[in-house]
Amino acid sequence: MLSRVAESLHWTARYVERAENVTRLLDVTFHALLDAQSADDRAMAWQRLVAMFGVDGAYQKAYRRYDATSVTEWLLWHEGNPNAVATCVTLARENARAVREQISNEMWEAVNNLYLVVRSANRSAPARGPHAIFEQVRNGSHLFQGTAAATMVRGEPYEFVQLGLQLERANTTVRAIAARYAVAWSLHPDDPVRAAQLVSLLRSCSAFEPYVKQHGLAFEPLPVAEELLRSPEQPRSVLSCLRACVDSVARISGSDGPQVRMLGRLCSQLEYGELADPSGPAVTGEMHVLLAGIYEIGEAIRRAYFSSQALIATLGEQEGQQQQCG
Amino acid sequence: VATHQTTSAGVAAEADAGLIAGYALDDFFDEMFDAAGKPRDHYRALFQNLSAMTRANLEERIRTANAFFQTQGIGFTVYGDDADAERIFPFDLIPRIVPADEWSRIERGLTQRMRALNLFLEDVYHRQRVFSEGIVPPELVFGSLNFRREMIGFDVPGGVYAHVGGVDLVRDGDGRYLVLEDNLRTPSGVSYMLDSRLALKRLFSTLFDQYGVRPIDHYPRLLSDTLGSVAPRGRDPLVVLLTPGPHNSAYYEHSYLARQMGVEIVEGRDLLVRRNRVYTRTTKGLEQVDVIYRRVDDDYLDPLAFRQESILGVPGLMNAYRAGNVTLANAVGTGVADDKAIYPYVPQMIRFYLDEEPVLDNVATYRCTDPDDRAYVLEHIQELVVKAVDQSGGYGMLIGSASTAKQRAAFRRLIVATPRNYVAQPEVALSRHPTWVDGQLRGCHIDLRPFVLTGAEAVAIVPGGLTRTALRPGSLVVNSSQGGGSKDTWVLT
Repeated sequence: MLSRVAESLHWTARYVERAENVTRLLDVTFHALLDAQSADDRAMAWQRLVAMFGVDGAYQKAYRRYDATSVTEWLLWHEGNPNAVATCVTLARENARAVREQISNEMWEAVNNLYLVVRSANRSAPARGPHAIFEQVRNGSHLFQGTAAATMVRGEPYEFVQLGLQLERANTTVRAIAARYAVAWSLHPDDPVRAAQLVSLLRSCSAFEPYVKQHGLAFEPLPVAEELLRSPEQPRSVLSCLRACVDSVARISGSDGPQVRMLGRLCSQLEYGELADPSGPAVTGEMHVLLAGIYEIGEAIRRAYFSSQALIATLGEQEGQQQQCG
Repeated sequence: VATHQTTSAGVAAEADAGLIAGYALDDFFDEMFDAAGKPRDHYRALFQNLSAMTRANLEERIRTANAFFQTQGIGFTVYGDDADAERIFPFDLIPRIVPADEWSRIERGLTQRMRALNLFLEDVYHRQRVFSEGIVPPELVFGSLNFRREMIGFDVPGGVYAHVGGVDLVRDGDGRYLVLEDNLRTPSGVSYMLDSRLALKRLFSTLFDQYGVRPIDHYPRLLSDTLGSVAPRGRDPLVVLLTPGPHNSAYYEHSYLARQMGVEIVEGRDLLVRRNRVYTRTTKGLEQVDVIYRRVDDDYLDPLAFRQESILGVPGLMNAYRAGNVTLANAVGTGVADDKAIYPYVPQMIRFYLDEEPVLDNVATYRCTDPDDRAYVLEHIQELVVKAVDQSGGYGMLIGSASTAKQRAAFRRLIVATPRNYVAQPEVALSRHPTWVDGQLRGCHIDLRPFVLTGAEAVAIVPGGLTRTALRPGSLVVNSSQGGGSKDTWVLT
């Protein structure tokens, strides 16, 4: 298939998933902080949420304080925030529109409706009660992913949608662990805030209830992180997402390509490795290594399937082979 | 139904029942009724059908047709920032019917005309006998905005320039078929022809049974065969359709044809040129392209050869083309043959290149470059239609009878200043056809655009074409950009 089309499908799925993730993380923080004690704690928590998406500097140019109203506005609407929900949804729609003829009508309608909902939302209301918009974005994302699964012919276009979605999901789970693990680790086991942090982390990845079923209500940092990193049952665990990427890449270009090997190495490390040092700073460091690995995979996919430079290089190979034959 | 002659002001004689009751003929050539007001033989079955139909029947069918277009996703998709409304394309349910003998004459005339036009293009870009023999004044060709010096001396693959031609035909007050203009660059409208047929088959299936209508749905296959026949290499050719993109008003048609032919629809940025070969960028690497069915104008094809600011094109494409590694359909530079200033010379071209008399006549045309013609035009401008030679779609036009003194004075000045840019024609009383307007059948003016496919070996024309109809009584403008609609065209066996 055309590189441009593959790239647009990939990014449509990625931006829809990112919009959902930003919304869920905001939702979880919003609710957790209704229980928090001091204003300082709350400000700290809001700052960590902003920093999780790596644009803290831009935030400080736009706002003086970290509070519910400012951070909610920043994460949902602010034009200076490249990961704002409104930005993600607009970009998802633009990418989908560029390949309107290649996706099902239902998928287009799902993206377009999500865009219309976000665009027509009352931007001042969420500070008083943002639940409605959280729910609408989450439902819109689920509708898109559901229609993609239900209406797309299984082939390259479908695999590029899955690849975008799963890479984004893996990325978010790692960022969520990086943002909360060290805080929980630093607190005394009897401090109720520690348990609250870990519950928030699980909820950020839609993993609370399955975790409790399996491990009960004793929340310890290490088991929670382990679960989110390598549980094969959790759909948002990093291992689950990366395995789905392996499957998609293998279906696109065979199971022996360099991208599959890269992904496979990362999966093996996750599956058989362990967090040797469970201290907060060490795990945060590990998460940053993992993020770099996921970023590298994204780059490898871009080079292999979307970028002209790589394509021109393959042309050189083809010509070389032709000359040898002739 | 009793047959009786009418003497009152041109109401069709037998039109006294159902939807057709009271249908006014006025003084025009009507496709369905003869001058005496009797339905023509080949329209009798349709006429009886309409006579037996109520308004509710027809409106029910219109609703069904619209629902069909909507569920099939057929329409002009209007990509706006505010709404993504799909407008259903303007369409009239009453089919236009062409008897077999009329069609076979049209077919001969179109084949002859397209052969001559292709020979003219070959000649213009090679030996230029047409100038040395005094058939066409060279300054008209070299002065054309659509003349492409890059094409001089270049042998196009298969010797074909205009692979896809759309020839607009009208019928005058006597019912004679005349050529109004040739479209040899990127003629559009074929998707409306195919969609109209799909809809009519569902709505009037019994009439199809009674009539024996020649099929048209093999057009995508004929187009694909035509494109394959002019590929530069002797292997299974890779054909792509090049579109300016989703914002182009004809994008629906581009995507429709690509899907029907099973070829990739590409934009300029999907293609790249290396060592004079054209490739598509795919997830599996680069694939060499053999034939480009391009729906992008010459000017935007290659920023290195033509407009530098074009971002729709492919840098280096002209070099690859001239190196013989890729075929462009239509060829570059065909616009010189559908220039309105060249049009008056087509009948002489047919005699010159083919040694035949033209089967289809032109509409009489005054050339403003000719002193006598120009004097006539300036004097009789009020009775004429003046057309700018380099514009289409109903733009840059003066309809004398409907103009103000100020507009006429402005056109007179333009003609005197740049006579090369204008031609004039007497107003043609276009034939009319029953059309559903404002809840009743009215006579509306129509034309016909058949699509002529010219490959390396053969010329192919699907029977019929796009019948365009004005959707306001009295209006002579049938272009869809100006509020016209389309009709299904039935050529009988």
